[in-house]
This record gives sequence, C-alpha cells and structure tokens, in this order.
Amino acid sequence: MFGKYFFRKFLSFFVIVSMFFGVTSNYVMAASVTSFSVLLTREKAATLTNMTVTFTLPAGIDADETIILTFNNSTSIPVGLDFTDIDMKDDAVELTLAAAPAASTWGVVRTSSTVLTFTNGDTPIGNTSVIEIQIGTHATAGTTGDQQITNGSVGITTLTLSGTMGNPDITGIASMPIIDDDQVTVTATVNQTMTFDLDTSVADGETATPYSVALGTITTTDTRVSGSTDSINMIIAELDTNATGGAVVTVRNANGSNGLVSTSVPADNIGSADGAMVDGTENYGLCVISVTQTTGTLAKASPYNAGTCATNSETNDIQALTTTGENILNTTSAPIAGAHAEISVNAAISGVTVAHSDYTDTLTFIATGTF
Amino acid sequence: MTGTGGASTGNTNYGIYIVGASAVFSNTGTGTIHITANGGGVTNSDSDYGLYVNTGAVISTVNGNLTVIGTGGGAGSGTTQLGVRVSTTSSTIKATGDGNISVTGTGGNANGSGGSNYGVYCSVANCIQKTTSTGTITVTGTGGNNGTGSGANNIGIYTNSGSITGAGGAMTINGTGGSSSGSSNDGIRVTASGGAITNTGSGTISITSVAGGDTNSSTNYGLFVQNAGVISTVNGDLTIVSTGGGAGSGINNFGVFVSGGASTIKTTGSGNISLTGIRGGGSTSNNYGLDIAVANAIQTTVSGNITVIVDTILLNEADDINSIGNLTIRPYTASTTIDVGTGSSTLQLTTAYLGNITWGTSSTLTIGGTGAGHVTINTTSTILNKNVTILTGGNITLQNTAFAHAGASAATLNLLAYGNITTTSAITASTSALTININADYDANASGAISIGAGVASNAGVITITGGGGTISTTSAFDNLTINIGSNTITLGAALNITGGLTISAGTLDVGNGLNYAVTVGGSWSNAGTFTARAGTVTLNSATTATVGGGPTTFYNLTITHTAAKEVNFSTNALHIIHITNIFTVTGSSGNEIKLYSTSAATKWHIHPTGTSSVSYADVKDGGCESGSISIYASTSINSGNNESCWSFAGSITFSLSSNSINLGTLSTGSASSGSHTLSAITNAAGGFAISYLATTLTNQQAGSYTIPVYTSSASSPGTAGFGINLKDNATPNVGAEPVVNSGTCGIASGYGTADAYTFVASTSTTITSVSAPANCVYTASYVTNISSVTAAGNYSTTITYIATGTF
Repeated sequence: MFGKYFFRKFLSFFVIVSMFFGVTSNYVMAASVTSFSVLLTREKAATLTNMTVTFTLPAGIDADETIILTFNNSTSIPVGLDFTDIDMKDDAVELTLAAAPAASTWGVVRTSSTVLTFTNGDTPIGNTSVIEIQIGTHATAGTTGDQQITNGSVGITTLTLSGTMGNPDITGIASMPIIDDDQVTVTATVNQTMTFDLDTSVADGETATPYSVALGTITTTDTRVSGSTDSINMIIAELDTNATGGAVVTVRNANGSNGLVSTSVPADNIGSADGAMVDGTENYGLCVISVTQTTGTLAKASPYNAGTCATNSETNDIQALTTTGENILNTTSAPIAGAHAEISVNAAISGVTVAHSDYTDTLTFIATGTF
Repeated sequence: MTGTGGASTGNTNYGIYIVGASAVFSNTGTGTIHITANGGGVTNSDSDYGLYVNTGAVISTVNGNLTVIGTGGGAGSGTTQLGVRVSTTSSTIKATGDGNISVTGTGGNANGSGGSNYGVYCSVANCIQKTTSTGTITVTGTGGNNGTGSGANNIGIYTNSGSITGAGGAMTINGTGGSSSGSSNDGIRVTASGGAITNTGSGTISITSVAGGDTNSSTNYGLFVQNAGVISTVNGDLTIVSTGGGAGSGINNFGVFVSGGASTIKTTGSGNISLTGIRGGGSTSNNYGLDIAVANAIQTTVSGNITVIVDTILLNEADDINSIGNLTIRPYTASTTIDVGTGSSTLQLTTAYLGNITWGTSSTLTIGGTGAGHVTINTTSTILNKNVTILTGGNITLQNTAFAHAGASAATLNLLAYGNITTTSAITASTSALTININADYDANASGAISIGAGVASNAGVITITGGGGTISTTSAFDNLTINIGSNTITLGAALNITGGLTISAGTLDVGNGLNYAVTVGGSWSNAGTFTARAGTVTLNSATTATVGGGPTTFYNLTITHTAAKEVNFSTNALHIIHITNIFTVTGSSGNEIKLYSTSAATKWHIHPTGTSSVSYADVKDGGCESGSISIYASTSINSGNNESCWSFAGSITFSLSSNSINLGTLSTGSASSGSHTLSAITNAAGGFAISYLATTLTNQQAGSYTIPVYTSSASSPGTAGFGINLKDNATPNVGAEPVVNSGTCGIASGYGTADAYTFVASTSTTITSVSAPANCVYTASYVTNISSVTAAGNYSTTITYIATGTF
C-alpha cells in the first residue's frame, strides 16, 4: 500500500517536473537581444570606423558575467584598443570601464583582433536595459578614444554577441554592410564674375559715354560742386563681383596735384589738395557722397572714408588727386552685388586764379577683383 | 585376338592385318573385342605395323568395350614401324553402342635410325569413332625410335587427313613423341584437310601430348595442328596439355604449334577451351609454349571461354586467339613475369600480340593468375576498350604509357595483385565509362600496397580500391573513387581531387600526417570507414546534388561551395554525425544558395561543429545540432525550417551606391544644378534599416570660408544660393525618382520626402530614410544647388558619407 502510494506520488512529481522543464531537450534555447544595431561612421572596406553598438537586453546581466563581441569578415580590432577607446551606457547612463572588472566597473579586454570581452563587476544590469557601446574616437567619456576598428572586406560583417550574460545566455547577431566606397563626392564650379560701370549725372541714372563733369564757371564766391544746385554731374560707380577677395576701385587723374589745368596755358591750374572746400580758396578734388549695395558691403576706401561729403555742399572734405592713383572704394574683401557709389566733384578758385575757360582734368577709375 | 608379325628382314611384317570392305572384326550386344598386335621384322625391315586396318575393313563392337593394342616392329634403318594404322576407304575402329574404345599404339624400331614410327596413324575419316554419345574413346600413341633411336617424325598420334571422332562421349587422346635424336617427334600431329580430332554434343576432349626428341633434337611439337587440321568440340570442354620436346641445342620445340590453312582448335557450342602449352627443351630461344601462325587458331564460336596457359607465346596473325567468351592468358610456371606491352618479362604479350587476340564484347580478357609473377603494363594497345583483368601473385606496375579505354561500350578494368600495385602512368577513359577496381590485397593478407602516382579516370564509371593500403600521390583528378580496403589505410601523397563522389566503404583514408593534403570532392561523400582529417580541408564543390553520409565523419575544415545552385543532402542516420573541428565554410551566392538538407525531408541531419563557421548564402533545412556545437551564423541565408538552435539566421543587410561622385557642373544664378544617384538597401532585419549621411555643405575649395548655404525643406530658387537633397521625383528642377519598392515599405525621413523640397544638414549625421521592417528599397538621392550673384567663385565640393544600419 505504501509502495503504491509512493509510486503515485513519485509519478505525479515526475510528471509535474517534466511538464515544467521538459524531459528531453538537447538545448536550452538562448535568449536573443532585440533592437540590435551597429552604427558605423564608415562602411567602406578596410577603413577605420567608429562604431556604436546598441541592443536591448532580454534579461538582466549579473555580476561577473561577460559580454563577448565577435566580429568576422576580417574586421580588425587594433592591438592598442582598450577600455579608454570604449564607452558603455546602460539606459544612457555611462558605466565605468577599466582594464579589469571591480565593483561597479566593467573590465574590457581586447581578446583578439576580432573579439572584445566585457566583464561585469558586481553591479547587475536590469532586464530590458538598453546597452550602448561606443568604440572609437567618439568614446569621449573619461579619456577620449584614439583607436578605431578597421572594417573588413566588402560584404557583410557580423557582430556576434555571446558570453555568459543572462540565464539562459543572451546572444545576438547584427550585420553591417561593408561596401567598396560609402562616400559620394559632390562637386560644382562657380565661374568668376566682375562688372564695373561709370555714369555721370546730376542725379542717379545711367548715362552714356563719354562721361564728363562740367564744372561751369567758378567764382571766388561760388565753389562748384556736384549736385542739382549747380547742376553739376556727380560720378556714379557701379560694381558687381564674386571675387572671394572682393574688389577695390582706384582713381587717378591726369594732372596730379595740378588738378585742373588750362589747356591753352598749361602752367595755369587749379591745384588739388586734401582739405575742406572753401569759397575763395583754390582747390579741386573728389569725395564720396554715398555707397550702397544689394549684397555685400561697399565701403569708402581710406582716406575717402573720412570727412563729409554731400551733394550741393560747397564745404565737402575732398581728397587730393594723384597721377598714381588712390583707392576710393572697396568691397571689404568680399563678393558684392549691386554696389553703387556716388562721387562728388568739387572745385574752387581764389582771387588769383588765372582766368581761362579751358581748365580740364581726366579721371581714370579702375576696379580690381581679388579671386 | 593376338597377332605377331614375323621376324623377317623383309618388310610389312604386320601383327594383324585386316583389309577390304568385307573384312570385319565385330561383336554385338555387350560383347567385347580385345586385340593385341605386334609388328615383326628385323634388321632394316620397313613398315612392320602392329595392327593395320585397311581399305574399308571394320573392327567394331556395340555395347562392349573395344580394346586395341598395337606395337610396331622393325629395326635399324627401317622406317614406318606403326603401332596402329587405319587407312583408306572407310576403314574404322568403332563402337556403336555403349562400348568404350581404347586404342593404344606404339611405334617400333627402338634404337633404330629409321624414322616415321608413329604410335597411332590415322589417314581416313572416322578411323576411330564412336557413333553414340555413350561410351568413351581413349587413344594413346607413342612414337617409336626410342632409346638410342635417331630417326625423325616419331609421332605419338598422327591424323593425316584422317579423323578420330566422338559423338558426345568423353575422348582422351594421349600422344607421346618418340625419344629419338631426330627431329619432329611430335606428341600429336593433326594435319591436312580432313585431319581432325572432334567430338559432338557435350562430349569433351582431353588431350595430353608430349613431344619427344633428345640430344639436339628440334621442332618437336607437343601438339601440331597443321594445314587445315581441326580439333574441336561443341558443348564439351576441350582440354589440351601439351609439352614441347627436344633437347640440347634443339630449337622450335613448341608446346603447341598451330599453323597453315584453316588449322584450328575450337569449340562450336558452349564448350570451353583450356590449352596449356609447355615449351620444350633445347635452346630457350624460340621454344614457345604456344606458337600460332594462322588466324582463329584457337577459337570459340558460340559461348565458350578460352584459357591459355603458357610461359612463352608467339602470336603472328590477327585473331590468333579468338574467344567469343572470356579469354585468359596466364603463365604455366609459377612466378613467371608478364609484360602487357613493352618489357623484358618471360611471358611477353607485346602490343602487337595483344592486337592478335580477341574476346567477347561483354566478356573479359584476363592476363595472369594468382600464381603469376610481376606484371608490367606499358602498352598503347586498345585491349582496355573491353573488359580486362590483370591478376598476379606478384606486383602490378603501370608505367610509361597511359592505359587507355576508348571503347564505344563501358568496360571494366581489374588490377588484382597479391603484391603491390604501382601506377606511374594514367588510366584514362573516353567515349564510355570504365569501371576500375584496384586490389593490392587480393590474397587478403594485408601485404600488398597501392601507390597511385598518376591520374585515374573512369569517365563516369566507378573507381574502387578494393584491397591493400598505400598511397595516392597524384593531383590528377579522379572522376570518382571508392575505397574498400578492410582495415588498411590509404595515405595521400598529394592533394586528392575527385570530380565525382568519394566512398570509403572500409578502411582509412588519411590526408597525411603533417601534410594535411586537401581533398576535393565533386560529388557525394560516403564514409563507412575512417577518414583521418588531421589539419586538412575537404571541399565539396560541384554543382550536382550530392549526399553526405555513409557513417560519421570528422572533418577538420569542411568547405561546401559552388557558384551555381547546389543541394547537399545529409544522412538522417543518428550515427552519421558530421563533426567539424576547425572551420565549417559554406559559400553560396545570392539566388544560388547552397541547400543543406537531409536525405529525408522533415527528418533532421546531424552536425557537430566545434571550431568556427563561415556560412553565407545557404539554405538550411532539418539541421540537427549535436551537443557541444558552436553557433553557426548563416548569413544571407535561408532558414527553410526544422533547424535546431546551433543554426542562426540573423538578418542580413546589403547596401550600395550607384555612384560615388556627383558633378553639378558650373553653377549659374539663372538655373538650378542637379544630379542624382541611387542608394540600394536590402535587409531582413526585423527593425528595418536606416540610411544616414554626414557631410559639410558644398565648400569653396579655394576659400574655405565660402560655402553654399543649406536648404531646409526649401524649394530650389535660382539666384538664391542653396544646397539640399531629397529622395523624391522632383519637377523643379527635374531630377530624381520615387523610391523603388522591391519589398516592404520604403519610407523617407521628414525633410527628404517632399518633391521639390530639399534639405541638407551639414556636419551632423542625419537619417534620410524611415524603414522599420524588412525591405528591399532603391532610393534616388537628388542633389540640387543654386547660387547667387555673390556666391564666391571657385570649385565647390563636399564628400558625403552614407551609412546603412540595420536594426536586428
């Protein structure tokens, strides 16, 4: 009686155990990580790359357990790669790495040219944790990495995740495409452009050549200046260029400091010197009334950027003219579009200025781009 | 009856003389007749016959035995002292019922000088005959001139246009030439048209003939069939043991000599011929065991086999030996060496001789026997176009010349030796298949060794090493190979290449200790013996469907590969485990995955890899895993189901760019510049894939501070500088294409999925696709740029790195 009862009990226990664990099983199926990806910075064969390995654990990792990363396809982990070249995060929280595990520190060892082994210290990692492992120069936690893995051959590289982590062991495999060239070089050309135009007009506007400024009759009480008051043209300079160094505009005259020279008696002239125009004081020169532009910056070049200058003003601060030329405008070393400058011509005489009706001078403007 | 001739010096002193058609000695019923007749004559008397049956005389019984003993007489220079003579006009000695006939004739003139003393002389048809199939004929003839005799032509039995005929009963013919010092003392001579020894039905003929001649006697043939002489049976076996005579400096003392006219030894039914030709004494030169100088000298015409047993042979005519069945040529004397072709052995079957023999189309030529000495094969002969067996108690060496099969029909070559078998020349097969069996342990005492040093090809036949260990040291390809060598071992001396299958039925195939020669098999692998892999590699590489099994095999490296589709079916036997201790490699190709299936669908096969694996483009089904197996990652492979956990089919991902450069040309403020290329990505990753890019914007290469500003979901606007990309079919400008969806869903990330709207994020890795499940997509990346009037002149470029990442 006891024997039959014991047998029934034993049988029941056996059945229960069998149902729970299974009686015949060659294998305990390994658990696989999920969302397993390996992001490279380069996928070209035989090329250095940073690597970001991400996966979600199906089970926790206990103390002393290992994560083994194994590459194939001739992938090469440099000999010098160590824990300083690797960052590891658990749910975005940096873990401490070292050459050997201790307490909450994971040990990281380059086991071979294709294998990295991570060994947990004594701090378990929980189930469903997202593990991110950065390998390469982007591993900046602590010491910034200076070693990178070299991709293998053209084809598919697999990263096999194994080790003792989890129970049953956690495994995973992710693939990476390795291609002959992962880069596209985009090229284009922008041709050089530069346009320069002069006009002479009392008001802003396009005029035809020849460009001229007639100063009229100058008296000691009437300094002649561009503008509507005296109906004297101003000189308008227009400039466009995509020169990387921008452009400058220079001006020179035919007579230098002699300024306006009588054609009939060349020894007689109205000199040109820096300074403010004053009735009764002989002088002749230019100043820049205004500079504008659509894009970029058109500037009055030194020394034309000093003093005052306006249309109809008989007291403008002018600059002496030279035969060698002097910068009058620039684009601040950059391309410019729609550059527009208005330049005032000023002339005054003194009481001893010899009367002639043929005082004249020739101004030459040059725009130079730096490409 | 007993008769004795007189002792006269005159001639023709017969013991008994019966002559004329009315002369009859007969008995009926079971009555017997016994005749003893002794010729007389003295001094130089001629023609003193013991018994002379002449001119139609008859001696006969029915069911009773008929016995005749005749002894010639004579002496000195007297000639033609015949023991028994039967001649002319239907004279005969016969039994017409069950009675046996025994005729014994002994030539006379012992010690004399007169020749032609025949034991039995027959010169009329049916001189000795049986007319029924019951009862036997025994004829024993001994030539005269014995002792110190010196005459010639002392023939034991001489049928000269006469015949001894049976009708189905056994016939025994024993002829012994006289021991004279004269020449031509044949044991038996059958000559001239009508000269014959024949039997019918299933009657056999057994001929034992020994030529005579001593001192320096020449041309003493054991059996001489000459000038249209015939020895034949129908269904009964014809057995001849014939020894040449002669001595001293005598020459041409042949065991058997067949010459002239239509002379032949034959069977015309199912009877077999066994001919033993023993060369005579005297000079060894030209003393052949068998000399044939006429076509069809030895022949079977219906189904009989021929066995020729000789130490030396001379075959001068085409079809000298013509067997409708099997033909065997082997030495008479043990350990006699044999040449098949060129050589210096005793039994020389020269290439020319081999051209003068023939045998049945589906029958076999056997050269040698278990008592034969070493055999050397070196011939251009075409004998291998039909079945050939080389058999020896010694060694077989194939050298210098390829042994070639080029017959229209399949054939078999057996190389069977008690000793070693060595090949330094190839065995070739063309036109049809050749089955090749190589057995260097034919006596099953493990003493023979095989050394294969040249190619062996069977043209889709079967190559089997059936006995003996040894080496295979040729890299020439076998078209298949079976090793069935008991407990012996074949060791490789070179890489083994087999275009067909390899079967190890018994014994060991060793790739060489420290040598580790590769084994390449184009067909199936069956190992019921032992394969010693050491550190070698076995490659299964053909396109044909192959099986792997026969028993368990431990490989070191196992590689299965081919560029075309291929199926390998593994045995489902639980004991037939495929162990791989180092590298398991399977390399198929896209669309041509190598199928790794079992021989019985839904039943698992068994693998046990313990090293590493490299498996790509495989199609795996029913893959069972033995305990301790590593995880086999089958990349880019198909899981056809029922695979155990050592198989891993993690997803694959492929990625490609159609171009690595885009030249947007010379930019203009008046119109946009554009270009495109494709990005192809395929993955079976559960989480799909993401394609990202990383680059600066277009940058002036002369002045790096100048760049093209990037678009952000912007339209192209000529005259306004901007640079961007998208993955759409655009109209403004006309560039790009919609994604090609080969499978799955090919989504596009925000900013890149609206036509005519472009985006570029400089210097930050940015994802441009949105694919969250397995997919096969081809995107067209369009590049669009515009410049303004102040876009700095120069060359602009950027290098964009594209990355595809699967989420598995």
